[in-house]
Amino acid sequence: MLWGVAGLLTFLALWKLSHYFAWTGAGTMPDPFLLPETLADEWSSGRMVPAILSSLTHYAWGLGLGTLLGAAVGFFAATSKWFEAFHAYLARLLRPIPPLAWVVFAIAWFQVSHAGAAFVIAIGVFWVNYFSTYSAIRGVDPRYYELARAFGQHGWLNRALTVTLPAAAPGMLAGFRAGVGQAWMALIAAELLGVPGMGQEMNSAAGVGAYEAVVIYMLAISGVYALCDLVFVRVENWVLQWRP
Amino acid sequence: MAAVIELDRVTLRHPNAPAPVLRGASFAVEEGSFVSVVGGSGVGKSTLLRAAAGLMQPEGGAVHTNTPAARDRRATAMVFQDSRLLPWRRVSQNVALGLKGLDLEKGEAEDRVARALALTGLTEYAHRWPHQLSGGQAQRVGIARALAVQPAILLMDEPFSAVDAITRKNLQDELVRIWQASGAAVVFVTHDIAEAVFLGDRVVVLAGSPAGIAADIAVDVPRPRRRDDPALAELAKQAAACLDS
Repeated sequence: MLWGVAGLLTFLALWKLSHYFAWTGAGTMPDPFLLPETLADEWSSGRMVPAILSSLTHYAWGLGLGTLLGAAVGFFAATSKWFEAFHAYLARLLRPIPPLAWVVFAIAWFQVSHAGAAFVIAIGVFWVNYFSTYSAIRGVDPRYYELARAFGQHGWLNRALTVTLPAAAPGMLAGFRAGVGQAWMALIAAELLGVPGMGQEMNSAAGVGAYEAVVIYMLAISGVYALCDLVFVRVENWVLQWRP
Repeated sequence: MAAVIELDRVTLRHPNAPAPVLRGASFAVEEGSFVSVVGGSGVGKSTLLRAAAGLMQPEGGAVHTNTPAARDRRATAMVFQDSRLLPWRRVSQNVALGLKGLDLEKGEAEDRVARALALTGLTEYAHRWPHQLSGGQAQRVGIARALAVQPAILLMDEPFSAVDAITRKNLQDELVRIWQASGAAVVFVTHDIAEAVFLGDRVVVLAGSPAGIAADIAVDVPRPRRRDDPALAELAKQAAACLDS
């Protein structure tokens, strides 16, 4: 705790020094001591809260859809030989395409909108969850399936609910959590293209050289992400309370 | 007494194995009786149980189960060597595993779980997670889970081989009590001859490669038995001789 605070203070001191001596060139380093004032300005300007809410809107949609579809496709790929064969080449073809490369089509299909941003976010999240779910399910101890059969638990759905999903839950949740972070990275990039949100606010502040405001949005991004992750960890601990 | 399960010249082969592990094994288990199956490693003891449970098909011969058709119980139930509890279910939910799909009256499932837990001395552990149990307790949950489906045949695969010696003796004594209370037939696989003789009404000895039935010894020693009974020691010696041959 003490060392953590010391680390933050050291960082702040170096930052202030670099501002004071203009190490990066005059006018390019924001002044950390102006941040509280800038935060108050941004807050009272009425732009910050809508920007955060706008970001969270396409974040939630992109994360939700990407997670759901990624986990579903990963699940079917891991449990159905037919589907695994069917999708294998397609996955290999599409997987290497960076999510941001899809921005062109996001704009073509959805214009500059929540849907477009959510689409780009969902693609990144999809792959993270696809792989984690697939490998989590492949890693389920086959002895649990034997147990289920020995106790008369037959049928695809029954087996999925009795064994597959709970056994794969730790790995799947690790993927969900990675997706929460992945979505956040893609979110800002998607917004830099003009979809309303924190990324766009950052971009427009940078355009007029208001670097303190840029930092405020960077910190807001950090804060909202930390909050999302905190909530996620709470949920995860509750779902996985059976673990030692 | 009618046989609840009958193995008729059963030959078993592991998937992808070049040769059968067990060849031409025949024996029958009488209703409510306790049959120990003893043998060294790799003679197909566990495989034999899997075939009896219908988890694998024999390559030759047949397994006949002859249990009364009932929609509220299962013909067989298995107790595994590794306890094999589902770690994401509490003890009571683990015990209830096999009840799903049975045709039970309302409230009957809860009653069965409670009775199985009481019979195995686990009532106070009902809400624990499996990782909070000792090895012996975990094995008892495995037994309770099997009892809850009221099987005609309880199949036990070296259930006490992973617990310490004292716990093991306690579990053996408990098992005899539970078996007598439940009325199920037991097929108990072990590599421990003394355990096989102490528990069984009969001891089936598997030996050879591929294995076959080397002996089928009746243990005519009245219960309750004492571990130091010379009659048991004599039978154990006899079984050991068959294992070596």
